[in-house]
Amino acid sequence: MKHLSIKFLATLTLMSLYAVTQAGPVVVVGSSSPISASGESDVVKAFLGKKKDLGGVSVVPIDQNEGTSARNDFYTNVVKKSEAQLKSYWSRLIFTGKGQAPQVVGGDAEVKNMVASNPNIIGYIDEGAVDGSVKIIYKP
Amino acid sequence: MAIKSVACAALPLLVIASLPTQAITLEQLNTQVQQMNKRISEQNQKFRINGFASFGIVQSDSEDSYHRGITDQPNFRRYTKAGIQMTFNMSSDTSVITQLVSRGENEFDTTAEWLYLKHDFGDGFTGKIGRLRKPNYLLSEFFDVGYALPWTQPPVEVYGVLEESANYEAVDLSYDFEFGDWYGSGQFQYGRAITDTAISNDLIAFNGSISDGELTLRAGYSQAFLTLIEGTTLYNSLYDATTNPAYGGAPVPTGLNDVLALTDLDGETVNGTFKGTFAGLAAMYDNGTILAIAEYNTLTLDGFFADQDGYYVMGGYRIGNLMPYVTFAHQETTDDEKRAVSSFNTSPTGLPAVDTSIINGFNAGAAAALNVDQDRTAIGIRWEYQPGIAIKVQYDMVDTGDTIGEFDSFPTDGKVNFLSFTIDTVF
Repeated sequence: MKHLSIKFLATLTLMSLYAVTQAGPVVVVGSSSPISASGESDVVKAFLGKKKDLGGVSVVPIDQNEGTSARNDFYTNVVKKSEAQLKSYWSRLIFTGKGQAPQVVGGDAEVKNMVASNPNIIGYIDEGAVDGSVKIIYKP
Repeated sequence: MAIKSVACAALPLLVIASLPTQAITLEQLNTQVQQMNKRISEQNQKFRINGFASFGIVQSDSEDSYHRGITDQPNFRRYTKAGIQMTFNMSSDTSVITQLVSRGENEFDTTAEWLYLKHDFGDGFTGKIGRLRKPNYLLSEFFDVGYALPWTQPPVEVYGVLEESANYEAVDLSYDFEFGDWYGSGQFQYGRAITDTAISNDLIAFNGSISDGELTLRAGYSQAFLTLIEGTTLYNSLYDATTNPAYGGAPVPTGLNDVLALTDLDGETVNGTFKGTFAGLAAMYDNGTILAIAEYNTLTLDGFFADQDGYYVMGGYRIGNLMPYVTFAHQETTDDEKRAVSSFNTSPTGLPAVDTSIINGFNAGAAAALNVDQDRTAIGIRWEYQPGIAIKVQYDMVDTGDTIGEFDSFPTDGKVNFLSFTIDTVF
């Protein structure tokens, strides 16, 4: 019994460690933004420029620099597009005058700064970077 | 010891230097950064610059010049081009878009390919006015952007019309809608195209497309009324052809548009204005691994000008950063017999009678210059060197049978193979 509980505890610890190291990306807005929790497909559409509002509030998505873990996770697991596919996708929209790729602002800290400064901006950051300045509207 | 004294001497300087900032708290600094970020982002939303460039080399195994200058000498110009697109958002719903393109094959002269004002009326309706791209094809609007295309060069069998004149001045009304997981778009354009050789009046075009993100289906139609501009090289050479003694010709007392009217077929020609129609169908499937595109179009031009059908089917398979692909394409003129000597209507009413030998001679020349029956098989590979840079190598095998095909002049042998290499970028 004792062994079992130790094992149980160890598993729990390992699981929580796993959760910390694997903290995925979350989509955030400024803490005072009127944008509320949104579904995956709406979030994906917003980042691909196919949807200009979430729940009636117009949104401006922003991107992190290429290579950040939040960006890699977000596009690979949520949007399900590789960087090359993304580049192709946007070049087809940009050069038809139909849209513009989200502005690239830096890393988690810059995204938090930007969303906090404008209630219409949405961004993604690593879950571990979430603090009081932002609110999560989508978690994969 | 010496170091310490230097440090001591520097200390007051540091204190002085940091004095003005002492009054600012961290919070104020953060607010300033936020405000600056906001300003930068607003500026960025207002004015955007995007660019694309392709650098290419193409060389064939034939001395006969093919498709505007591809020969057995390496051609560094033909596939090399660059473009800059500037978008100025005047407000959230109105913008001005300009695209300037320089092409190697045009001596790198820079021209405004696009120059239009766009307004979003809301509810999915968008209007444009200015210089626009002709919307004939699935890939019309980014036909210059090599990076957005699978090939080193789009198949001429279908995209040839755009190569001759891709842009014109028009108004455009588009409607975008969404139903379930599908996106749809309808587009209508009306304008007038003026090229170096001809004017297309009352050009109207409409098309519709739907897409679910993987599958895209498209259908389009356009029509216009063409008039040749007098005095151009094309006009003069056609005029000369009709009067060439080699064909038994003799000077004709009328203008070229009247001569062309002699090639009246089933009453298609009226007063030197030739109606042209264009219809196209396209399907594209792209699930991230498999890419397949098929496109078919049919062009009809009244009178002497050739009617033409063209299609291509391409398939590619992505393995990591590589995508090998294969393309089959075909193009043929469909009214060869109608334009042939035997079926000629000698002289339509209202025009002076002309010697049949002139017409016969004219048509022998015209057949050689206009009849096309071309097949192409192309294999290639696209390598995503890094996002925004693609490197492609393509080998094309073309057979024009006993026609001129896309050769620049009648070839000694209607077979040509060529190898092309491009580096395509977007930035």
